[in-house]
Amino acid sequence: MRPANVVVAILSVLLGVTILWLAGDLTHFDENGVPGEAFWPSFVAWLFIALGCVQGAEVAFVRSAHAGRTVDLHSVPVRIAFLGAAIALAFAVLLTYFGFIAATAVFVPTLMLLMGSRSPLQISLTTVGVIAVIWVFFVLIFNNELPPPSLFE
Amino acid sequence: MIDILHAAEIVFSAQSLLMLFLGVFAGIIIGALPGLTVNMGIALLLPLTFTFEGMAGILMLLGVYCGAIYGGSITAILINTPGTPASAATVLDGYPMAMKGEAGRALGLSTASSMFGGLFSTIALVLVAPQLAKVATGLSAPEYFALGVFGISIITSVSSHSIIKGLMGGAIGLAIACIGLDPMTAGMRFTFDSYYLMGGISFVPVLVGLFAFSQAMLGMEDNFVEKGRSEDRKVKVKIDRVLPSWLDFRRVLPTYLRSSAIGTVIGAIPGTGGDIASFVSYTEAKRWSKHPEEFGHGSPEGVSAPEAGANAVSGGAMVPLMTLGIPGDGATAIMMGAFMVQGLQLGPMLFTEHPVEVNTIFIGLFAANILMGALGFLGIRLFTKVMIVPRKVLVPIILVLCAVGSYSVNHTMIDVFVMMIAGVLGYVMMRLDFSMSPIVIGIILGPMVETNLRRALIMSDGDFSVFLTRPICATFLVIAVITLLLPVVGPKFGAWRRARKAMSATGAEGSTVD
Repeated sequence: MRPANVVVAILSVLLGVTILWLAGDLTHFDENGVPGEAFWPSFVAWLFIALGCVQGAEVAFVRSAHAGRTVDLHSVPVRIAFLGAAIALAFAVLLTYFGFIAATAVFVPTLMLLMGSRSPLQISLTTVGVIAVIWVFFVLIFNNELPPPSLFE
Repeated sequence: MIDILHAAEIVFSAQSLLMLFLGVFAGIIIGALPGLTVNMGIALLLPLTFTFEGMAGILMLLGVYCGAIYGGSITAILINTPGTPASAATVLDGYPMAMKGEAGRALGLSTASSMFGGLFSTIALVLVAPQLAKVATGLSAPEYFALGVFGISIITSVSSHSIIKGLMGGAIGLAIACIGLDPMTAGMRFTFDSYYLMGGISFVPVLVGLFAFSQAMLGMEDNFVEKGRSEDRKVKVKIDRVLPSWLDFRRVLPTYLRSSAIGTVIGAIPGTGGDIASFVSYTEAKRWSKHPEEFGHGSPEGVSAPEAGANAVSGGAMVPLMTLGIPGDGATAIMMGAFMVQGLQLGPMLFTEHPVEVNTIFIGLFAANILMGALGFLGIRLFTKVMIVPRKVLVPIILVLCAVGSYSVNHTMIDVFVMMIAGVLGYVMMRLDFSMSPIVIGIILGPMVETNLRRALIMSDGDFSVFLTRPICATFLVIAVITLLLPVVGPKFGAWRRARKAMSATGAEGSTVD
C-alpha cells in the first residue's frame, strides 16, 4: 500500500496545484473585500495540497498506518474488471450509434461470456429478459425515452 | 390537518402505492443479494424517479431504503452471509437458529422486528422533526454555513479505512461541485467553454457511477475469484412457519422497544449508521436478557435486536436530513440529492414551505415499513430464490441499468460516459481504500457551504469573526471540529488510557512483590 499511498499524496498535491492554476484568472476578492469566484476553489485546492502533504507524512513517519494492507491493480481479477469496464464503454459507443435494443443484444452476451457463462439458454434468456423488462418499464410504464439509434436518424 | 389529509391522498393514490410497492420489493431484493448495497440500490433507481410527477419518485426511494436494510437479514439468516453491513450482527444468532431447523422462526422474528423498528423510528421522526425544524427556522447564512461544515465533518466517520483519504474524497466532491456557473455571480468556473459543463457535472450520473458501476466492477472481480460458484448461496434449510408465535412476540417485545430506541437515536447522529445501531442493539439485548447464555446459539432476542436497531435507523436518519439538511450517511446523502432534483430544498424551511410534502414523507415511511413487513411475511420464499441469482447474470443487468438510468436523466449520451468514467475512477479509488460516501457528501453540501460562506461574508463586509460571534454558528463549528477530530484523536486517546492503566497495574504488582 505504501507506493500507492505515495502516488495518492502526489496526485492530491498536483490536483490542488492544477485547481490553483485554473482559478488564476478568476476573481479572488472584489473591491469591497467580498470573496469572488476563485475564493472557494482556492480553498479546496489548498485542502488538496494539505491533505497530500499529510498523506505523504503518514507514509514517511507512520509506518504502521497501513501495515498488512496491500493493493494490486495488476492482478488477473482486476484486469477482468477493467476489461468488463472497457466492454461497457464499447456498449456506450454502440448505444450512441445503434440504439438500446441492438447495443444491449450485443453487450449482455459478450459480458456474460467474459464472466464465464457458457449456457446458451441462460445467455439468451437473460438478454431477451433484460431488453424486454427495461423496455416495458421505461417506455411503456414510465413513458421515458431509451437511447435511439443516431446512425439511422 | 388539511395538509395531512392531502398528504394521505397522495400516498394512498394508486400510482404512489405502486411506486412504494416497487421500491420496497426492489429494496428487499437488493438487500438480499450479497454484494449489492443500499446505496447502490438507491443510486440505480434514482434516475427512474425523475420520470414521475410529484412525490411518487421520493416514495419509491423511501421504499428502497427501508426494504434494502431489511433484505440483508434474509441472507444473514439463511446462508451466514450478511446482505448489507447492517445485518452483520444478525448472522450471530440468525444462522445458528436456521441450523437448528428454525429458519422460518428466525425470518419471522427478523421481519417483525424490522417492521417494528421502522415504525417506531417513524413515530419518533413525526414527533421530533417538526419541533427541531421550528428551532432551526431562525437560522441565517452564517449558521447554514456552520451546518454545512458540520455535515461535511461527518466524512471522517463514514470513511471506512483511511480518514485522510476520506477527507480527500470529500475534497473531490467539493471540487466537482465547483464546476459550472458560480452560485453568486453566475460567472463561468472550470467550464472550458463547454455547454455541458456550464450546468455543472450532472450529479446523478456521477452517483450511479460511484455506487453502481464501480460495484458491478467489484462483482466481476469477485465472480472471477469465486470462479462463478453460486452453490455456496444455495439455501440448504427448510423454511416453515414465518409468522412469529405469540410466545415469541411476548418474549422479544422489550428487546424490540429497547433496540428501536437505540437505532432511532444512533440514526439521528450524523456519521453513524445501521451497522453501528445493530451491534449496539445486540450488545444491549444480551446485557439485559434473562438468557444471555443463548446468545450466539440461536437466541430469539439475538435475531430481533440487530434487525429492530438497524431498521430504526431509517426514521432517525431522516431527522437531521429533513430538519437541518444534513445527510447522516451515504444513503441519506443520495436521498438528499433526489430531493434536491425534485425541487425540495431540505432544511428547516421545508416544514413551512412544503408541509404537504413533509407529511407525505411521514405517511410514506409508515406505509413503506408496513409494506416491507407484509412483503417479508408473504414473499420470503420468493426472496430466498432471488438471492441465488449468479453474478454473471446480475452484473450485466446492473451495467445496462446504469447506462439507461444515466441517459434518462437529461437524455444525453454524455451522461452515460460521465457515469462510466466516475465508475472506473470509483473502482480504482475503492481498491486504494477510498470511500464513496464522502465524495457524494462533498458534491451535495459543497454549494450550500460555499454560497452561505460568501453570503455571510457579504453580510459582515468580509469580517470572518461573524462565524465566531454568533452563538449557534460557533456551537455548530465547534461540534464540527469535534466530529472531525474525534475519529482521529479518540482511538489514540483510548490506546493511551489503556497503556496508562496497564502501566499502573504493573506498578502496583511490582510494589506488592516488593
